[in-house]
Amino acid sequence: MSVAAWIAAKGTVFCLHGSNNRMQKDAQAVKRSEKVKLKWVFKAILMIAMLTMTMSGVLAGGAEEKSGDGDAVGAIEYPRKDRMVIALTSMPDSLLPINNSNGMNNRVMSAIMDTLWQAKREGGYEGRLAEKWEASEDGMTYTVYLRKGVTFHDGTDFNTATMKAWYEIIKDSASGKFFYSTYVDGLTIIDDYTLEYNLKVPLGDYFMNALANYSMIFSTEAYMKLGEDGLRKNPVGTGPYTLKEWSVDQIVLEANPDYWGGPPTKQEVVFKALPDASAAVLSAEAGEIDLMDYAPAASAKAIEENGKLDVRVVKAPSYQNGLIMVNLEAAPLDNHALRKAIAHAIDREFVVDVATEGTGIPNAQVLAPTVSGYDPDYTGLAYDPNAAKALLAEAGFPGGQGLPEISLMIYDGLTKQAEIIQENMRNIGITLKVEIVELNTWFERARSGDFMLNMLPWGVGTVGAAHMYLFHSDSIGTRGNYGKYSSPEVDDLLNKAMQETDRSKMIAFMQEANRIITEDAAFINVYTPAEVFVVNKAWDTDKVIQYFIPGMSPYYY
Amino acid sequence: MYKFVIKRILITIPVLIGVAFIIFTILAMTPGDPGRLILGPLAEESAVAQLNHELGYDRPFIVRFANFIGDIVLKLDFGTSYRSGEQVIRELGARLPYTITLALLSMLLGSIIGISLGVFSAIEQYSVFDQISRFLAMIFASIPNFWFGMMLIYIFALVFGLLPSYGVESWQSYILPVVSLSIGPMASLLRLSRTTMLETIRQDYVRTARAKGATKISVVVKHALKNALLPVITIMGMNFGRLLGGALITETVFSMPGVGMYVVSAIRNKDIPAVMGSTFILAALFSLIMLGVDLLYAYIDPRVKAKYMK
Repeated sequence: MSVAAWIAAKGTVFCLHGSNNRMQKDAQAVKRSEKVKLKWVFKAILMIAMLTMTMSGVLAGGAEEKSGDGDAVGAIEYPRKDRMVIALTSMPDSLLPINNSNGMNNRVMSAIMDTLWQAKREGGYEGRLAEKWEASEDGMTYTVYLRKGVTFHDGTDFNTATMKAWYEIIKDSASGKFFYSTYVDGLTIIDDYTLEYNLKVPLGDYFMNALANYSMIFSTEAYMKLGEDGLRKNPVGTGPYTLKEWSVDQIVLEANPDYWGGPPTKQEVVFKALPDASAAVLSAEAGEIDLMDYAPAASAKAIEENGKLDVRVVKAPSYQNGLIMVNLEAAPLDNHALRKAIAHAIDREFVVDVATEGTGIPNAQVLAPTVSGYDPDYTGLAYDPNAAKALLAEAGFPGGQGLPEISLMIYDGLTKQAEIIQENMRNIGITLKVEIVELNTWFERARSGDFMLNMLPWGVGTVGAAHMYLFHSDSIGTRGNYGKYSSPEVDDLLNKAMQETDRSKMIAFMQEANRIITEDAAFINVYTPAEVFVVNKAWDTDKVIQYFIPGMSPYYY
Repeated sequence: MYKFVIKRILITIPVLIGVAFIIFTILAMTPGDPGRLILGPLAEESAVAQLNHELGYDRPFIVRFANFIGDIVLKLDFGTSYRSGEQVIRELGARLPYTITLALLSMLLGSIIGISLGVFSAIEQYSVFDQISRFLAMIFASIPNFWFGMMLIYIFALVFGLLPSYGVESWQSYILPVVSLSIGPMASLLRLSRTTMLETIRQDYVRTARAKGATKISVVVKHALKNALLPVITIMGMNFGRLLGGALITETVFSMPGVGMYVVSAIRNKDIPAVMGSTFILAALFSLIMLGVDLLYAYIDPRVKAKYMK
């Protein structure tokens, strides 16, 4: 403050001093113009002084606020049990679980609606709207015992009648048609809380998987009254939260005190769209959001290393794989030895360390650790440059001679991984060209077979998903098996696994399939990414990693 | 005067149709269709076809385009979003205020600071003040918008905890985004007004005014400023139009629910009615602004006014 006063004083003296040395008429004009100049200089100095004073006041105030006072922005209060703010990458557009594959929608829907059961990350299922379930010996009939005493948010009862009505709506929708028309013959009601699914073919774990996670049950009464468009904006389910407000920048849920699982611990859950990942991490550190799952790997690492922040990082193994798919119709990739050479040449540890900042798991098997059939003792086609070179020679391309350029099609999220793989290939003599395309283009080209190698993080959840896409010959074409891999042995094993109700037998089938697919090297796995959550330390996070989807559901806190 | 206005408005119509046609064509040529994007990459072809049919996407290009234009002209209906089932005009209506506020405030802040600094720089050419402001202009023109925004968030929201880091909940939420977005127009207007001002004060009539004994202030404000600012106004109009769409980056960094975010997400999801509706409205708004600029021009410059009065 004294500095400003000193400057002001000096300025005034200067002005006064200056005005003493002037001549007459010319001097008047000169005086005026100089006064103008001085006036501006004076004003500028005053402004700077004011700014400095404000800044110092502000700094002092800011420091106080940071020390944890009440509801100042940036301060954290412990414990916070009444309100949770979750960040999404975009605003949900529909809360109707029909024709809806958007992950953002799913995160909100999972707090409002329940499914029959929930897949656990360690394997197996936990009942939600179903208390118990039994598969018949032949796997053609599933008896489901519904939970009693559950009501929808609109007051209607949850029982077999509403389940049947729901089933009738779902089975003809564009999203449900494939599963229901291919596998389900019908639904038989035994009594008010017991029903039977009658299947067309025996199904094992696949049936459980299909009715978990994405098969959210909404009130059919509300569906009749409001129609699909109405339900999209006003979902009615049986879940722990109800929709309170949906404005252009946030969705607010409030607790349902009559929830069958007991009243939820939070009064309010707010979903906000923060599309920029780095800005969202800053917001989390500032305490303005509580949970996000799309932090860039480098930010997550920085948070972990700086243990003094108010947020922490929680990692959970995902069921996705950074999988390279080979187009078996693109010569010379139909050469088995060549494919195995490529698989052995990839330094997976390095990819994980550099491209994912150590959050992933190097994986040379085609299944992720969380998927049935993964064998922790099986090393797959692990990194071995010498074996790679030998195999390359065996394939007829010693040192890469005579081998045409091979291209790898990726989308822009895998650039670092692709660069490392390119270098790995160069070390054994293979020239790899990396093509980075936009995600929609990626899928269009993959579907039409316009690629040699492609790479994407694929999710192979349970055996059902492994059948539905990627490895089965039925999936050739648009269902995910873009490389046209067809192995009768694998098909047979996958079919058996899909229809096997005995879990240990199913796992044995999948393990064998795993080995064959890995050895065939038509799919070359590089690593399994982790799901990385950045969460405020005020929340208990054990449950974050307990379930697959929705790992972000506020239900679990 | 009114004939001029009517003529200008009439010319806007083919412009808007042309813009709509270009966007429609580009959308038709890009990969992806709404059915596929809604159901996901692994859905059955038949399911995708069914959804596309339900959305009316499988009808021929010209039919869809004609329907789009027809709906706007006859029913003022900008279509229904594929994804949310809401009227595009209503979704836009909810979001436009945020974008317009952001663009307007940034424009105001940028213009006031940019023009005043530019004018002073011109008056005190080659002074220290001039050097500093030109240097600042160069820095502000080069700083990437999103980086500046992130730095502001880091300093003011994280380190000092003074301002919110995202959202539009209070008037304080607008401070950082407006500052971050305003540096672009500020830099360009600073340089432009400095240049035009320099030219203007070299003119004969300014020298005459000074010779008459007018004070420097009155020369600048009464005589030179109006002439110097004429081109600046045109640029301001164009800048504002650009800001409407270009606020996208700022909206994304600060998570503001404006039109920019809406349009980009609609493009990604091939939500054609949303894209078409938004583009159409933005183009119409921009044409309106340019018309306003032209009228303002006529109002300020008596020569132009005389021409149109004839």
